[in-house]
Amino acid sequence: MLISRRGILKSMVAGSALAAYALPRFSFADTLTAQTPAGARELVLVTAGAGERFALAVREAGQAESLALGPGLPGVAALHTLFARVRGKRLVGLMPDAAYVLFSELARDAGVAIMFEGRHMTGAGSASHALHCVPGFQGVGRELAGALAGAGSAFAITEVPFGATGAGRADASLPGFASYRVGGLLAQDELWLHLSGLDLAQGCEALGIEPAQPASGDWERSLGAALARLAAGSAGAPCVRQAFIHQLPAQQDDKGHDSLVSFLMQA
Amino acid sequence: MSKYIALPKGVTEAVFDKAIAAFTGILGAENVLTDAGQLAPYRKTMMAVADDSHAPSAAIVATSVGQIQQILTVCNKYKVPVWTISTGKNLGYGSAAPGERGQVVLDLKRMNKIIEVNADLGYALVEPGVTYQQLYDYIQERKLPLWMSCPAPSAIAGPLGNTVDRGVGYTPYGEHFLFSCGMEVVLAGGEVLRTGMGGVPNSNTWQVFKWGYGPSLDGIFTQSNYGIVTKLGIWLMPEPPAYKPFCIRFPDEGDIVDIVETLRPLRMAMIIPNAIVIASTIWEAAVTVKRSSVYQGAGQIPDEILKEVAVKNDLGAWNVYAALYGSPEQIEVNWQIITHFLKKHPKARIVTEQEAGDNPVFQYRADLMRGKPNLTEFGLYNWRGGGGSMWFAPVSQAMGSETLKQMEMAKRILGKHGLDYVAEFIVGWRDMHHIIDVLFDKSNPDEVRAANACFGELLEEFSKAGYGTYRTNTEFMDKVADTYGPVQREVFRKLKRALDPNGILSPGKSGIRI
Repeated sequence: MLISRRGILKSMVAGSALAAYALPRFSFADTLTAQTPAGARELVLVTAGAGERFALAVREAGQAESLALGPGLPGVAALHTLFARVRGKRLVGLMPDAAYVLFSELARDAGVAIMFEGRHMTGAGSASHALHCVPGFQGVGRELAGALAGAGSAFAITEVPFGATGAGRADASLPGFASYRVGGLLAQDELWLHLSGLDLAQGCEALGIEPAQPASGDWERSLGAALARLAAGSAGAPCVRQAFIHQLPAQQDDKGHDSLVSFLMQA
Repeated sequence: MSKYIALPKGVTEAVFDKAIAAFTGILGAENVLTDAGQLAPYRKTMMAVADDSHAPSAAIVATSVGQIQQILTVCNKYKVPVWTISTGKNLGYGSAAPGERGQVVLDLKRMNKIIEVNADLGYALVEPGVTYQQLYDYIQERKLPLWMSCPAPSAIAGPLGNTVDRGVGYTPYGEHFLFSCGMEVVLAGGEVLRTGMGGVPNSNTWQVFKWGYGPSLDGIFTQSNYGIVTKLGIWLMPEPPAYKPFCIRFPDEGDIVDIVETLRPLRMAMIIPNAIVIASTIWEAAVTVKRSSVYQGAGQIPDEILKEVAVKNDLGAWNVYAALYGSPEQIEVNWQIITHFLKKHPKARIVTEQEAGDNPVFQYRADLMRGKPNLTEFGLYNWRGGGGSMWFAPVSQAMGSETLKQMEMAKRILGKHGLDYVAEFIVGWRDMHHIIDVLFDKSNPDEVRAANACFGELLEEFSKAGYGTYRTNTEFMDKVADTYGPVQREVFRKLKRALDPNGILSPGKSGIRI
């Protein structure tokens, strides 16, 4: 999700921040039953020509076997071998879209479960991070938001449990608002979040989220560290549908300069 | 809160519990998946809709016809619908996710036996989970003088699933359903049907004679939900003594008229015997170039930028790939005919295999035209990024004026929604499949809405102009079915009611329900 200039203009024309506060806190309180992740497992870091800082953070967080698939599309035979070899282990990684399509398709063939998946579109002036997780593997969005809040760039982070309704077809935006839908477990639980000119603190207050952590400003490092912690079995955050929106970019539509996918899988 | 991430339509949790228990009894707990993490890979799609609208209630993995028969007994008893996948690699058409939320995915990936390859008669009999790579390796390991035909995502997709969805490849056997021969189908009631000569006990002609006796049934089990195809015969091409792939690059978009008018007679006369591909600049460039590296603005990428991309990467506005097969003498004769025809078009630039060198785009095209699987075309997913891809696939006559009209229509509609024209034409004997990849960022709600609206408009406008769509993703199946008129839909429904009275097999496939 990108905070678009269209959204900004809507805000400037008729924006009212109060609408976001009108969302009752209890809307976000129907948390999914949080499952405690199983204890620490053997961790395998998988990269494919991207995410050096991500890999560094994963390694810093603890012992992880590293598998680098190279910058191109991974080989099918190599992936079959990989999945056969890592059975019982957890896989974390960050890779470009095409490589991830292939990786995740062969993961399904190998009976691998996906516990977390994040899509990251990053540009010069803003970034979006669309995260999905299963109960017990939540909280990356919050960590990312905390790390990025002080860095000055605009960002939008959504974290939606698997099984929830994600980006939809219907145009639910309201005049004067940039609109974001945050889904629920069932279709009837769909929830749209409308923000207009909110900074992170206001957004957190509306969402009932703890204040942001001190910032590092490095999304790749923060993501790597958060996923490594999750893989090790320490999900501390509540499993709620969340959106973190920070700042509004001052430039024109900033189409993603880079597009990557992160994941945590259980082989 | 339910313990399932979704439930089949009209089925209570208590009833579904019983169905799951019965599935577990048949398949074992390890082959009945209901956990959110296990199901996450089955709910991912590349379509411009929320994945949740295609979330399965469960996925079950069968390994035999006998298990499928038992599963269908359970489905009929509890009115639980199954959505069958073979390898589940129909990327951009719905992937492995069910057509409707709550359906149970019946995954046949482990039914992956190559039952027979007959080198003398040139055929194979395969199960649903066999991949093209597996079949290719089988042929290579045994040094059999046979070539198969495969689609672009071939290494991980399979011949059975691709053929029953009426997919195409790039060799002379590229119209895959045309080159299939004999099916085994498990019907909703559990009966096992073998089509054509397969009905005759002890017949050895099941994979060599397509028609059998009486009405030919194979077609009704393609793009349909009348049965579960568990075996398929496919014909394999004798390995030719020589092979000459080549490319012809044309610099301007408007050249598409000349291209088609030049190639159609050659294709119809079988001078060029394979499914010729005419690929646009982006389709070619995406193998090595990302959109953001050449354009950062909003909206459809401008033509002048595309021209720069083409020049910089030694591409044409259109890039034609074809091949000649046969003895060196035959190839030489046909090559002379082709070059003679192309002399009329001074803008056309021929690139041979020798001239292409190690060009990765030429190489993957050359491989596909000889049935060697690869996945290079996955580069398309890096062009824009964000994981969104939907194939829009109208059919046109193989006439230059028609292809120009379709290109202009598609480009205009895509541009209206800020999306790029990423397309190829695949030339049949008299038709062309116009394959357009609607690429978008699935994590951006604005782009999701734009892509969805764009696809709908493409469908509507093309239908109004008389162009039918030969294949579509699971989200648009009903809309495409409507474009073929009420009589076809009603006949399909009558067949469904007759063959699957409880509607348990892939409800909604191609818009067909009881």
